[in-house]
Formats: sequence, C-alpha cells, structure tokens
Amino acid sequence: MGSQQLYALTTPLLTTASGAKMGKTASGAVWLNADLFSPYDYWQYWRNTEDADVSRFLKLFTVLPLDEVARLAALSGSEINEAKKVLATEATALLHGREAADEAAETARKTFEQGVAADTLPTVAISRIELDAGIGVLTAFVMAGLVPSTGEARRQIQGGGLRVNDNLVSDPRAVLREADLRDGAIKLSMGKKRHILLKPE
Amino acid sequence: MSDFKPKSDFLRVLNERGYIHQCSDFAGLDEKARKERITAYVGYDCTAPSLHIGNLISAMMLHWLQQTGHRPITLMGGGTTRVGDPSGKDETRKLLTVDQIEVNKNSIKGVFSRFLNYGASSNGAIMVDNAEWLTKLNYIDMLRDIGRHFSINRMLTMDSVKLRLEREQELSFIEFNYMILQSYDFVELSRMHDCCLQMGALINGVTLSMVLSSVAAWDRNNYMH
Repeated sequence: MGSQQLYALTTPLLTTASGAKMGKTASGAVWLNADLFSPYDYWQYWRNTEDADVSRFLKLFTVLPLDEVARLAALSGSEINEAKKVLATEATALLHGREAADEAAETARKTFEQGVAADTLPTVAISRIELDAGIGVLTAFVMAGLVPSTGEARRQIQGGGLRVNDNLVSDPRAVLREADLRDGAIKLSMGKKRHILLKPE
Repeated sequence: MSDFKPKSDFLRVLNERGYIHQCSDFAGLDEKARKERITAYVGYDCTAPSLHIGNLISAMMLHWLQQTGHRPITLMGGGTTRVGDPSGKDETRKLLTVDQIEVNKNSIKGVFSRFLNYGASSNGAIMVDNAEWLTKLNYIDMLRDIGRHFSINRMLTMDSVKLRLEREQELSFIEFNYMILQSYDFVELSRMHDCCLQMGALINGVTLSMVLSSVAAWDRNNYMH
C-alpha cells in the first residue's frame, strides 16, 4: 500500500448573529440526548433563533431543499416567526423523529395560546449597564420578583422549575447578557404560568 | 472558498449549505470525490454522556457525505479521551476513569443513527473506537515509528500548547501526546478503511500540515521499502 493523499476539511466556528457561541445559552449546554435535553426544549432552542440566523441555520441544521430555505428566509416582519417554527420542527424531527417534533410544536402552540403572549406579560426594568456587565441567572430571578432569594432560585433550578426565554435553566452559574435579549427583553418563567419580561432601559 | 466552484456533489452541497471553512486541497478533494467513492471521518471525544449542539455541524457533514454516495466513519475517542484534549482548557482536565469513558461512549453512540445509515451497503456508515488501536501501541515502537516524525518545535507553536506556556500553566506530558495520538488515528483509518478525509471544527492549521506530512512519512517508512 502506498501513501494515499489525505485531506482535511474544517467547518466555520459557529456563532449567532449577536456574536454568542452557539449552544452556550443561559440554560447551559444544549445536549443531543433526549434524557438530558428534552425534544420540547430542543424545539424551543431553535424557535428562539435570532432573525438574522434563520437562513443560515435552515441550511445547516435541516435537510430542507435550498429553494424552500430561500422562500422561508425571504419572510419578514412577524412572518419570520413561521420560518423559525419550521426550523425548530425540522431540526427536532431530524434528531428526535417527526412525531416528537410535531408534539413539541403542538405543546408550544398550546402554551402560547394559554395567555402568555409576550407583549401582555408583566415587565421589570433593569439597567442597560448592569446587563452589559452580565447578570447572574439567580440574581435575575430575584430581580424579577419570581423568587424571594438566590437560594430559592437555586432550589428551583435543581427542580427544573426555571426557564429563560422558554429554555430550561440547568446551570445556576449561568449569566444573562445582551445576547439573551429577544425582541428587546429577556423572558423569565417560573413553572408553566408565571412569566416576567426583563427590559433594559 | 468563495471563488471555488466544486464539481463533485459532495463539496457542492457542503459549499451551498455553508459547512465549509477551510480545506487542505479543495481541487484535489473535489476531483477525488467526483471520480470515486471516498471515505471520511469525524472524531468525537467521550468526555460527556451526550454530544451537544456544537457537534451537530460535523454530524450533518457526515450525513451529506453519505447522501452524496460516500462512506462516513464515526470515530469514537475511547482511546484519546483516556489521554485528554489540552485545547481550550486552562488547566489539565481531570482524567476520566476507563469505566466512565465506556459509559459515556455507549450513551453517545445512539444519536448517530439519526443522521447516518449503518447498513451493510457499499457506503454504509462505520463506527470505530480508537481505543481499539491506541491501547495496543507499544511505547518504544511508537516513539520510533511515529514520534520521530513529530517536530517538538512545531508542536510548541500550537495554540493549545502556546497558551499554557505563556501563562506558565502546567501542561503535562500526557496532554502533550493528545495530538500525536489524534494524528495516528488518521494513519490507522487510512490503512484500515481507505479513509482519506478528516472533517471537524478544530483542525489546527499547524496540526494539519504536521499530520499530513507525518502520515506521508510514516507510510513511506513502513510500506514503501
């Protein structure tokens, strides 16, 4: 056997449009195994994609034909949310199967209909300077008035009770930053019913 | 990459969908993938019980590799994880026990069948574990056959090594060996499975050229005389 020619191909280091490293969310690592990160959380992760990333992520993380990607990417305004749902469902179907993906999409739709439309949620103002410096996730939940103390926030995280932008928080040391803003606010949730929007001013 | 117009289905799809950053030889690889069925691999370490979203891109590249008629290899780092990757870490990783690595490996494996077909077809995916060959290496043979093709001078210029040295942080000999073992994987896969392409997020430019030259030299010394 002779020495055959060998090649190497590298992928771009993935960051989101706002410069954050992918998968490093306030909710901790985004695992691919369903027992560590549920299909519903996975669906939400993709649903929270920033507008500017939709086209790129559809190409990379779904197997949709490119003309379909182009059609979805051309949607603008509130319609871009439809493209994000397609991204979420297709990416989830690839990893967890079509049934789990449809189920996640349906759960998300129901949760939304149960009166948690983002613009009707109570808002708590935070300082822009503070957010720039990074706010610890435990402190953020205290600021939002969802828990009385950081100790309680920590206990809630252990019990899987806290979410940031609908993503489960698993790391009590997670830090909220500008990259976590969605439409100008960060959504904090305790359990299924209590939601607060943190808005920098 | 912007000026390069691939002729092979494989590189055309990867390029169109945005998976490519750099390639050691676009034209050469494109020509080979156009003419014949190639075999390519991605290595996954076993430090956690699951892959994470950062591993998705390479899994998707293997998916498209197979969809365009070529053969993917998923390489489980059962051997290299016993040594530990020094890159991206400020200090020596805690060594995982062999049992932990085995548990992680088995827990990771399942996810690949979502992206790849491990069937018996001519381009069915293959899963291998580098513990298979790395644990059998004989120290003296390894130094003689492989070690002499690695330049310490060049290894010292690698980011993972340089940072530790600059910050005067400990870099143990075991970690220093990681890149050698990783390179040796390519040699082994090339011999066993006629694998000619490594894909991944972090193939350091210096490592790459070092791997390619050392692989070529190693092959020459062992097979050409």
